[in-house]
Amino acid sequence: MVAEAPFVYLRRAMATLLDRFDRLVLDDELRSILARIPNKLNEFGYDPWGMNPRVAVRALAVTRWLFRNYFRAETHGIENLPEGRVLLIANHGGQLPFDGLLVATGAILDADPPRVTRAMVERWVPSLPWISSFFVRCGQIVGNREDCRKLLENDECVLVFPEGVRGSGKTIWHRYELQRFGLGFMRLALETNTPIVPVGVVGAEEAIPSVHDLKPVARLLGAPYAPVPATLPLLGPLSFVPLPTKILLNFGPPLYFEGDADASDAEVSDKVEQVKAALDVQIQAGLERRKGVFAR
Amino acid sequence: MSRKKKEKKPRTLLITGVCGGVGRVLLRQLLETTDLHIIGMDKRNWVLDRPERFEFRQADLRRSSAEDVFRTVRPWGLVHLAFVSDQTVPRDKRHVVNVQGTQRVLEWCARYGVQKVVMMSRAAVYGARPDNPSLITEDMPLKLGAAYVELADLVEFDHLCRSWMWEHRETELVLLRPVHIVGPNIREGMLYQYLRSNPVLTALGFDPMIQLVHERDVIRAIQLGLEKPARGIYNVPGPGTLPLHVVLERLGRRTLPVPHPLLSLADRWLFRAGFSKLPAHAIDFVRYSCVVDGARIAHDLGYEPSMSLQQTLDAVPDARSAILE
Repeated sequence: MVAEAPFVYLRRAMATLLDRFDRLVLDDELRSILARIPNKLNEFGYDPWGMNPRVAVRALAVTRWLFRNYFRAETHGIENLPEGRVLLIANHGGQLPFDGLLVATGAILDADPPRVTRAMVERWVPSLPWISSFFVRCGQIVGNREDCRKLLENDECVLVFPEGVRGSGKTIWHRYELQRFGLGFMRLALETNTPIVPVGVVGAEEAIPSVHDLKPVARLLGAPYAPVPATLPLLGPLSFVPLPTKILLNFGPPLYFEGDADASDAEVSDKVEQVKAALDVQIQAGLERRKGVFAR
Repeated sequence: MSRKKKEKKPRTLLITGVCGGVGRVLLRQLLETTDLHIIGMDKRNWVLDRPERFEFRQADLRRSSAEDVFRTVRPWGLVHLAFVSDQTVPRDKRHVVNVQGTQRVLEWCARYGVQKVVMMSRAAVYGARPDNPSLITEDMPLKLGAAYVELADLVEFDHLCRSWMWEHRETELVLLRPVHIVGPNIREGMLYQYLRSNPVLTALGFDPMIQLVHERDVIRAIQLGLEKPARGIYNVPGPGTLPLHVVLERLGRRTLPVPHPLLSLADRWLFRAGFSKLPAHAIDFVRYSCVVDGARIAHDLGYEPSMSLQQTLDAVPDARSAILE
């Protein structure tokens, strides 16, 4: 077939490029991470959820640069990560979900052994070409309860932002104010007997300083919110690129809960408030520790 | 693996659609490892190299001669394999066999006191949808019918078996939902048709995870369903999950990636021209994953695939031989 010739050529070119990329960026640290990631891979290097560590480590090469050089991120208390199943509960902010990316990068770079963090991606992601399969290869999955439960039963590390878009869409005036938490994560933790580790993310909430949420534009675009960055008049569309703020990730001691997963909202809500309080402690600790928003 | 029954009087097992790929392998396996008295039934006649130790009855499910088989034989168990899985057969014809035929068979099972029924649905009934969970359990809704009316017979068959199961609690019905079955004897099914295409259409930028199960492992699942005192619905996964591109690369298939908005249109044209063998109504399976969870069958029936992932992949029929046929 003539029609397929360019595709064959493209695929070969792509394979060569990836090969070069691997040789260029895969240093000893990444190789050792690749070797030490605990996981359940089949003969072809894929886990039941479709993750392929060889692809994931390429992404890590990029996010490591963002983590260390761009955001100068630091993790504190990473030794609080227990072995086996764990739910990471973090505050959400900064308009775009790069805070999730940084938490995941921190957990794989600084934890020993490296932990692959699974985040729940938006439901429309699987219908996007390339991005869908890339996310899956990096271990990210569609956000739904069944998958989350099975991941935890498989002793994985799952990252949840219980604030959701309420957190990420808030303006700069409300930074580090925890919004209402969803209750789903607590029910899952009770059901699967999973310890909860609060992760205070400091710095991400100032990276895209939104001064206003243009609700009519959001409705028009079908987006959950439409931020107006303070830097918009100065930088134009570039203002949606996160600023190089100093990022601190504070991992708190694990919280263990017991109880009925199907208890009333009020009962579950009490436990959620405890998590919220513990998370706030970590956020405040981070805010005290940092010397300035753009500190080195 | 082989578990011989220690009963004096052999039980009678009826296999419908015994001439099909799964039917033949199942028959040989059961003849070798059990002392069941097996009767095979099919619309087609089985003339060449028919095993000797079993009775073959040629009968069509649509005719009363099929009921006569039930009446005279009074089987203890039934494995119902008379199913048109060739998606290129017109919808109404598939409906006659897959839904109406199955309904008649289930009626006869109730009337003639069959105690064990094994039914073969498909994991495809869950549908390939963007919002699918990464691992689908048996309790998930069947989304196939929502988007692909052409494949509604698969869902209807599944629902039929399910509702019958709850109406007739005295019969142990095991409804299996195997993933794509591959093997030297399998000459049907969605994946088989897809791989027969030349070039094979893929969705540009999409690489869904797919599951293959070897025919021998499906046979094992059926056998376990017959032997164990179980009833219910079970997914039958294979030894692992692979991205579609790995399967295509290992098989050396020529692929034609098409941007997804044009996929169904491209398939319709190529299907008409004879290049593609996968009907356009099934094309979403090359875009989205439909991966099932096998925890329940492992727990209840003790099923575990015996073939490795490599062995299963090697069992996918070669494209060239399939095209030459």
